Amino acid sequence: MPSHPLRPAIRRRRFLGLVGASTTAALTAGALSGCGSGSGGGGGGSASDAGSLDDLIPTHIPFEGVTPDIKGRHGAPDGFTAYPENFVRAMPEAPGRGGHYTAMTPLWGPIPPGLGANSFFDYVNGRLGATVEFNFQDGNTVIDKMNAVIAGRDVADITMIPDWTINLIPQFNRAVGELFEDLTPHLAGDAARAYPLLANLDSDAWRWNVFNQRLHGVPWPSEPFGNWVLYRRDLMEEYGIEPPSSPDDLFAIGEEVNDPDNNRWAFGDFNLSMRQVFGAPKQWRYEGGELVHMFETDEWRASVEYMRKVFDAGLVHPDIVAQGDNAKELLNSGQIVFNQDGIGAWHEAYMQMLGDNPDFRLDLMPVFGNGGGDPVMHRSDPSGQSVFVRKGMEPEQVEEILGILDFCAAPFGTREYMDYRYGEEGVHHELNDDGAPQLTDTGNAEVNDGYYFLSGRPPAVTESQYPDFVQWKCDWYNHAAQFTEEDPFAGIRIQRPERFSAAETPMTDRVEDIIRGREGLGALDEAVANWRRDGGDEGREFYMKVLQEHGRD
Amino acid sequence: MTERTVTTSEAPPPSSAPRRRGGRGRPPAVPDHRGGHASVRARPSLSARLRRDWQLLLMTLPAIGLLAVFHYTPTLGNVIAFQEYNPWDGVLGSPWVGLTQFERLFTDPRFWSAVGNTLMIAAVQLVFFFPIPIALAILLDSVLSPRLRLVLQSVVYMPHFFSWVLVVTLFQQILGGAGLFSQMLRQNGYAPLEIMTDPDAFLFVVTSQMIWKDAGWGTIIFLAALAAVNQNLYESAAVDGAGRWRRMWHITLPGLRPVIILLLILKLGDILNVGFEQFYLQRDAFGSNVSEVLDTFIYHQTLVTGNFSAGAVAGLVKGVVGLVLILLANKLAHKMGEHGIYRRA
Repeated sequence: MPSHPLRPAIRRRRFLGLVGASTTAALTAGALSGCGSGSGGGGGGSASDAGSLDDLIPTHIPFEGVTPDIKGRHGAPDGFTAYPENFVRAMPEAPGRGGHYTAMTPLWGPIPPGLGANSFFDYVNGRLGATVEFNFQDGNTVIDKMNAVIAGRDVADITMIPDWTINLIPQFNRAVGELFEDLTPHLAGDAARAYPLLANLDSDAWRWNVFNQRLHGVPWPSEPFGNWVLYRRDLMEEYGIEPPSSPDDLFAIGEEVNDPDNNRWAFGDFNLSMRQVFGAPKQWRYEGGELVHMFETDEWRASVEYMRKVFDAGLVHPDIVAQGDNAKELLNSGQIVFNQDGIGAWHEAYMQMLGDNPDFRLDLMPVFGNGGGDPVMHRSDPSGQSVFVRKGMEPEQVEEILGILDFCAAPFGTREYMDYRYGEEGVHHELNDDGAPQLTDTGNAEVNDGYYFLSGRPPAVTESQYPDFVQWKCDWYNHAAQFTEEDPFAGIRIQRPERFSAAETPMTDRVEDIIRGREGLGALDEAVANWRRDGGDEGREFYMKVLQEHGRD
Repeated sequence: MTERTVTTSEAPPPSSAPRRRGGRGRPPAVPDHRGGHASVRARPSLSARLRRDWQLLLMTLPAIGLLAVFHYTPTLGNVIAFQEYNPWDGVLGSPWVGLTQFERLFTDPRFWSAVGNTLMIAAVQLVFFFPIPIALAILLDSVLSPRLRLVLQSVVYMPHFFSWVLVVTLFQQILGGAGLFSQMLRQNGYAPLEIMTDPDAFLFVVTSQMIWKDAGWGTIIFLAALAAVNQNLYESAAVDGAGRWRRMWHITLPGLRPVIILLLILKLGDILNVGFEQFYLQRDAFGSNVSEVLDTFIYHQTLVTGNFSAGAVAGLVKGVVGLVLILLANKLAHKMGEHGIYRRA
C-alpha cells in the first residue's frame, strides 16, 4: 500500500462541541461525574477489570496505510500537517451484500433530506454495497429520546448512543444484553481480523464497550483530554508576555493584563484545569490501601483557594461570574485572555475568526504543576459513543453490519473517509488548492454526519488549513500526555450509586458559592463533611468493593 | 372557564345528569329552537338534552380529548411516587415502596429550602408584580388616540415573546458587572454594579425581569374587562361632579373586581409554579441558596440523578398544595360574593 503523509483523523472536537452545545458545561458535568456508569445493577455491581477483558476485545492491529506527520506520544493523537495528495483505498471491495438496515443516531444540525431524496445517501450506500436508512434524533434532546427508545425496547438495527447518554439511561446494563447483539463472537481476539479498520481502534475504547462481560458496542476512541485553558496567544505576544509556567506566574500575568476600564479581564472559568495543575485526582486516589476522593485532597482544596484568590482579585470577567453562556465570544473578542473550554473550541474559533482577523491566534496554556511538582492530567473516558447492533439478527446480517461499521471506521487519509464524510468529489465536494474538501451547494444540503457516527476512528489532529494549528496542538499534546493520571479504575465501567451522584449537586453548588465569594473558604470543611454524610462515604465503600472485586486493592 | 360552566349547568354532560334532576327548578335559559316542547318546569330528559345539545357536546370533544390524553392520562403516572421506579422495568415491574419516597423528601433540608425560596419569590411576585398589569391596563385604557394605544400595546406585549435566555442575557448585558451601566460607571471612576451576582439582590432582579417580560402581556385580560365597563357610568359620574380619581375608584376598579379576583385565585393555585428557566439560568450567578426553587430542585433530583420517583413525589406534593390553595381561595371568593373560578351551583 502506498504510504502517504496521513493517518486516522477525527473530528471528535467538533463532535464534543456540538454534543455539549456549551462545551464547558458538558465537560464540567463529565469531569465531575468522573467514571461513567453503564454496567452493574441498580446501585451495585460493576463491569469487569480491564485486564481480564482482554479476551473479549479485538486484537489491536494498527492500520499502516497512512503515516502521520507528527507521531503522538504517551497516547496523544497523531498530527497531519497537510491534506494528502492521493487518498488511500483502505478497503478493496464494498463490505455490504445488498442488505437494508435502519440506523438511529443523534444529529446536531438540520435534518437532511431522507433516503430517496438524498444523493449523498445513495452514493455512500453504493460504496457500502448495502442500504443504511437513517433515523436521526435531535442531538440536543437525545437523552429524552433514548430513554424512551430503550424503555420501549424499540431500537433500530444499528443504534448509536453517546457515552454521556448511556450513563444517564437507568438500568442500561440490563437493557444492553436484552436489546443488543453480543458482538464478542464476531470481534474478540483474532476474529476482528475480518474487520481491519475496527481492529485498528484503541483497545481501551473497546474495553469501555464491554457490558456484563460481553462486548456489545463499537467504540468511538476519544482524545485523551477533553478540556484545557485556551489563551489568546496573539494578545500575549502583543503584551510581550511569555506564557505562564506556574500558578503564581499565571496569577501575575492575570494581574498584568486585567484592565476592566478597557473592557478586558484576564480570566474566564478554569476551575477544572487548575485541579489538574495542583495535582488533584479526577475522582479517586488510591493510597495506602485507602480511597481518597478529590474533594478530600489538599491539592483540590488548593485549587479552590486559588480560584477564590483569582475572583477576589477581580480577574474574572463578570459575565463568567454570572455564569453567562458567552465565554467563547468573550475570548474571541479579547474581553478575556484565558478561558477553559473544550479543546475543540480552538479550531472552531479559528473557523469563525480567522476570516476577519488573520492575526487571531489561540494556544493551549502550557501544562505545569504547582511548586515544581507535576500536574495530574485527567484522562477523558476512552470512548465517546457506542454503536450497537439490534439483538436477534442473523449472524450473516451482523457480519454485514460490522462490515459497514468497518467502512465507517476508515481513518483520515483514506478514500473511504472522504466518501462517508464528504460524499462524491465533483458532486458533494471539491478539493481546493491545498487538497482540502469544500462542500458544494448539493453537499451543503445533503451531506451529514450519519455515517461518521456509525463508527469511531483513531483521533488525529488534521485541521491543517489553520496556520500552525496542527504543530502547536501536537506539541502541547505530546508534552501534556506524559502527565496523564493513573486512574485506579481505568478501563472499568462503573454505575455510580445513586446517593453518591446525588450528593454531588449540593457539593458543587457550595464550591461555586465559595469560588464566587458568597461563602468563606471555611465552609469547605462543612461542605465536604456533608458530602461524605450524604453519599460520599457510601460511594467510597462501593468503589473500594469494585477495587477488591478486580484485584486492584 | 366561566362560560363553559354556564353551558354545563344548563346542559350537564350525561354522567352528571341524574344528580341535578329536579334541583331548584331553574328554567332552562336556552330557548328551544326546534319546537318548544321543553317544559318550563321539569328538566328535559337526558336523551332530549342529548338530542338538543349534541352539536355543543361535539364541539367540546377536541378539548376533552386533549385533556384526556395530555393531562388525565399522564396524571396516572404519579403512581411512581410510591415506587422505586426505573424506566426499564416500567410501572408494573418496579417495586412498591409505600411512602418511603415522601419520607426522604420531607427529611431533605434542600427540599424545604427550595419550598422557602419558592414561597418567598411567589409572595414578592404577588405583592409587587400582580398589581402592575392592572395599573398598566388602566393607563393604556386612558390613552385616547387609538393609533398611539396600538403602538404602546405592541411595545409592552413584545417582551412576553422573548425567551428567558434572552431576557436574562439582556439584563446581564445592561446591568451586569461588565454591562452597559457598569462600564459607564467605571469610566467615570465609580464602582461597577454588582446586583446581577449579589444574592441579596436576587428577589429584586427576578421580579424586575418578570415585570419587564410579562407585565404588558398581563394587561390583556384587564383591558378586555375595562372595555366591558359601561361608558355611560363615567358620563353620569362626571355630571355628578366626580373627578378622575373618584371615577376610577367607584367605576373602573369595581368593574375590574371579578377579573382581579379570578386571576388572584388562579395565581394562588399556581403559587408553587414560579418558573424554571429563569431560576435555572441564574442559579450559578446568585448561588443555589437563593435561587433553588421547587422546579429546579425537582430537575436536579430527577434528571440529573435518574431518580424519577423522587421527582414525581415532589411534583405530586406541589400539585396537591396548589389544588388545596385554589379551593380555599375559591371558597373565600364565594364568601365575598364573587364568582371565583366556577359558579356555585
